[in-house]
Amino acid sequence: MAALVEIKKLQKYFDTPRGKLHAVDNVTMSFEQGKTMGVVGESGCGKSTLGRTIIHLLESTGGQIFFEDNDITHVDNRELKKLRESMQIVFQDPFSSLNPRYTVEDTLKEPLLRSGQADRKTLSAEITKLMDMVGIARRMRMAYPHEMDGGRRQRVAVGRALAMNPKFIVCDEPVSALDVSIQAQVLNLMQDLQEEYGLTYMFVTHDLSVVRYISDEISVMYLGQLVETCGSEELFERSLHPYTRALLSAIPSVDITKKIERVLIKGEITSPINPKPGCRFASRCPHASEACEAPQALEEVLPGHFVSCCRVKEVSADTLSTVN
Amino acid sequence: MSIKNESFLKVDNLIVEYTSDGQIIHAVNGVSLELQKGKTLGLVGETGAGKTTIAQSILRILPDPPAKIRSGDIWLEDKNIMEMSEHELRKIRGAKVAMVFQDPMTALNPTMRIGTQIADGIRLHTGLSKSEANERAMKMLEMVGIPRDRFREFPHQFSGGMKQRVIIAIALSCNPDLLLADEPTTALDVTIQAQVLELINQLKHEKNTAMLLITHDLGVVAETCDDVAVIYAGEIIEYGSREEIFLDAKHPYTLGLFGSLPNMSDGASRLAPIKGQTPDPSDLPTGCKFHPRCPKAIEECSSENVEMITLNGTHQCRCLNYKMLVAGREK
Amino acid sequence: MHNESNPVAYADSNTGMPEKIKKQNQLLEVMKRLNKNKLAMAGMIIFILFVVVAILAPILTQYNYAAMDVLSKNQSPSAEHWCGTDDLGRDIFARLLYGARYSLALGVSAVVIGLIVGIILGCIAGFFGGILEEIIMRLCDIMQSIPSILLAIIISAALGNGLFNTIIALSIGRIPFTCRMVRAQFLSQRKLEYVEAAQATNSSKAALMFKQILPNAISPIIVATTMGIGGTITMAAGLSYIGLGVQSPSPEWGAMLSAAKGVMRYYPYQLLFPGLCIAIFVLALNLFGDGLRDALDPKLRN
Repeated sequence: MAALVEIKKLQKYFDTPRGKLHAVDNVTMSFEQGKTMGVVGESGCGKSTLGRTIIHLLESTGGQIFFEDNDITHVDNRELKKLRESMQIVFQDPFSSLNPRYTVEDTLKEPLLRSGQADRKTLSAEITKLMDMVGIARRMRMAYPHEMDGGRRQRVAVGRALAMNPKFIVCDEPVSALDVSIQAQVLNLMQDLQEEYGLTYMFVTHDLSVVRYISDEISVMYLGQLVETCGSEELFERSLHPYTRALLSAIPSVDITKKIERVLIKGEITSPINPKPGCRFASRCPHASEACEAPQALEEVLPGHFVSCCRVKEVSADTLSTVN
Repeated sequence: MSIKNESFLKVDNLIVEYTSDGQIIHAVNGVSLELQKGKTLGLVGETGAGKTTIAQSILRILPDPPAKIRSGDIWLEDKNIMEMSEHELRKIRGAKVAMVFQDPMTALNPTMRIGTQIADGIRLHTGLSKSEANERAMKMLEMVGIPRDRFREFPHQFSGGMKQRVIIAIALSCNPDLLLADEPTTALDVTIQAQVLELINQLKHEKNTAMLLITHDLGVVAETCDDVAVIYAGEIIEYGSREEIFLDAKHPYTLGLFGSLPNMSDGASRLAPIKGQTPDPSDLPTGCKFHPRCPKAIEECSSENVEMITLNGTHQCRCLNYKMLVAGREK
Repeated sequence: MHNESNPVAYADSNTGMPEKIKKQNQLLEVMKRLNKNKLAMAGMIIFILFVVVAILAPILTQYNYAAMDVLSKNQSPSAEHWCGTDDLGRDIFARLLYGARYSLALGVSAVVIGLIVGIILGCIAGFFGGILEEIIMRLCDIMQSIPSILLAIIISAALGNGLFNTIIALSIGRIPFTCRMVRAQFLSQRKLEYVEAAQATNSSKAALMFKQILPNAISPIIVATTMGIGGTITMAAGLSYIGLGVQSPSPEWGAMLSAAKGVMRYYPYQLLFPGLCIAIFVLALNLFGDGLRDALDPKLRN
């Protein structure tokens, strides 16, 4: 299947008084049409910045972005407007992502008109259709955000993104702020919409159980760098990068019959400002060596399974041996 | 070595209401629980279930108004907290009973050095001199994995995980017998969460501290708790040991919670969420509070007041479906 | 796509639920909430009273505020002259009534002008940032480094007396204040995600500024403005008192105070009445402004 969106060595740096903050550094990723790419990592890994940079809410500092094989790294205003109709975003905080003075109708009205999905005459009907599509009760049409709970608000946010009739949606931790039972409802909704409309998702989250459930492929990020990317099941069965392994083992499991070999990472996360070249996880990695100080390359260690670690063959020897 | 298994903490039929704009919000509706020394009880529920209110009631730090403890007793060893004077309460807060709050970003005073924040609490509850208290504070820092020379630093110089560890240090600095932890790792990254949970468990074992862990994260409960109480709309709807809850949950809400989880070890193709929303605490349903959302609701559920039914030994459940079952068994 | 086949998936159902949430008429809502605050209501009623009185002045008194009657000068309050007469024999009550017009005109116009210019500058500074923001903010700094009364004095002295000139003098002092407030609101709102979301859905810059952010920034500004009217009126009175601003024969309350200060030991009523008017009017505005701030917050709606 063709890639709908592709990024090649994408960079996003911020200027801070203390130096250049490398939020996203040389990330290469490919988003297959109709599939979900989960992007996981902990705070400071750059996953949210990555999403925003891809859809041009932030301007990239380097690298390339492709949409349907067209280079969209630098676009003028007119092209950007057109692009926005294809690439949308759903934010994490369902409260601050809605205008507190806009009712549900107000929030959905503008994008519908701007994207040409509706005109003055069909507007009301289109709004109803959209509300039904994302499962908001019709009686809530005139409600304000503070009158709704997190789950409903998030549905409005999804509805707003859909109003532009996009092909690609960046979902930035869309269920992290929701209660578990509401999370499940919203996740189901997003899956249904993907199936029905062939949407492509970039699903950013820190919750590994959620990402496993919803993603076809997963990319793991650490401090702005891409450390591992492969199919969803593959990651959980055969993770290769030391950070991924530690991350997976850190998750508390509800399955109390399984004993987990916990790999505790020592120390704290290092600073993304003026970082040294080379692997950024090295300072906390139990397997670090001198070779880790050189810039790491993304290698295809197994078919479809890419890792950015010079010592992966030794570190994950046990896992690799089971494959052959 | 035998550990006394009498209840260290016993909450008996606690009822707490909030008044707001003339409306009464039924936050806690007859909660009873027990905790032994050295054990951890997990209090699990979603937002608004009343968990934090319970913890604050134990410490008697509820803002009054608008909150009011309508009835109930809270026994700490052999004393009733409800009957203590403010003076007596101040002696136990921080010393006998300590609390770890949810948000590490705001729980520390930003203008005070963290060493001072720890040492102040120590000096308040023990008779130690300033230098002795400082020394003890530095030992606490080391115990939670922070180098002692960071004693003189300010909160903003620490990351979220480290701040939470400082808060734990403060909580444990006076060797409390009971630790109330309110979502202690929710705001932390998962690898830091693992470190902090490991730390809490370790310290708990060393000091034989009893712990009430409040959380919405079932994974955290599975890793740290001996017993579990599931709370919904201010009531405990299921109570049991860790094995009983995780391997043999009975209440439809508990089952619904497990069904909503994207399971790590399971490749389920579709989640089974609980339909509807948590009820408005100022307008709770009659009878069983969960019945409007319950897939197993029967007619009596909307009218009858449901008591806790003992299923076996330690496993209890507040559900009419089991009332018949148990009654049938007894015949 | 309607998922009736899997209704459990969606939380909301369209059946068996309570009444529809209607779009609430904002104004009605605000009024209802305001109504609960008795002091604020009192303030508002007094303010409206002053406005009505100012408009109906010609009907409420038969005297012309400038009509001099030297024979009846300095008379104490009586049945004929409810508040007595001043030293030129003019009816004080009439002067108070017409004076209300001046105070209102000065207070409201100056504040509104300051508001509009301030909002525009604040929007630009807060939204665009960069060099534009720097320039606007430094201009504000310069203006604010001079105490507002002094600024008003300087401008008034430069422009001369008269209603129009005084309005200009008073409004200029308000611009930096409003501008700063608006900019501060913009800075905090601009970071919120709903602004990013609006950008992502192709909102134009103007729409972002005025339709998205400004309504959320307006609440503290409205309150400050209402209270600002009181302060401006006080300043106008101050200007007149020292001989600038609006002077006799125009019946401005401050000018009346000034005229009365010389004879206050003998005819205290000449000082008392205009003073009372200023005090009550400003107090009413402040009470109303306070209540308005509470009433305007949509989050308090339940």
